[in-house]
Amino acid sequence: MTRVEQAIDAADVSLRMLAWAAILGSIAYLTGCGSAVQASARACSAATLVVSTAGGAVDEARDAALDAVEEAHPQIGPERSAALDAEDAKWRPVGVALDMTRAALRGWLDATTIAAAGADLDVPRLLRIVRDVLRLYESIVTAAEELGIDDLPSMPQEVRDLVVALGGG
Amino acid sequence: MEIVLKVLEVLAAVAPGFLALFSGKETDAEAIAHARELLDKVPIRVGPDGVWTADLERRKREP
Repeated sequence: MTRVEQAIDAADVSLRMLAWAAILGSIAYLTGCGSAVQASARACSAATLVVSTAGGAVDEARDAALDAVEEAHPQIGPERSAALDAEDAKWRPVGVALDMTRAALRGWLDATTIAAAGADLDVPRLLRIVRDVLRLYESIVTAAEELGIDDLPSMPQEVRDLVVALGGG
Repeated sequence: MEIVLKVLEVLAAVAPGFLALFSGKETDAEAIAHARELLDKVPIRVGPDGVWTADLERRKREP
């Protein structure tokens, strides 16, 4: 066999190997070999980043509002405490919504971790949690808008795609 | 001999991909670890352990 023929043979073997790789990869994907867990974990990361960014913006605005109260009431005492309490109360709904979203994200990650450990992915539970995260995030945005913060980021398409992939339309 | 070496070369190139794809564990674990790392940075704000609660109390005490 000439060197050219050998090279052609080698290239042919390589192409066949790559074709098998593609076929086996497709099967792995279609049978959900790891991919569902990764998709869930990545979407959870994306959602967490958005919630974290929104939380940071809310923290900053709340700090500025409470700083203004402190400037208006420089003397420590009941009057300043009452004014701080009143201002803080305005921020509680968005704070509670952020905490609830955090808890939902934790549930999402736990469900994903359990699936990664070998259990079947609990699709109905995961779908419920992801929908909760989307709904809670809407409540964060609404509560923040009432406080004058209207530039919070949107939930990434990746999260909405996961809802569709889980059968949630 | 050259062909055998070429086949081995191709196998060596695709084997790690196959292992990662079919075992799934390492890549899954990495994706989960990344999500957990991000989530651990999101603080609790309201309630006894909340950072807002601590901040409010500090503002009441300190000038």
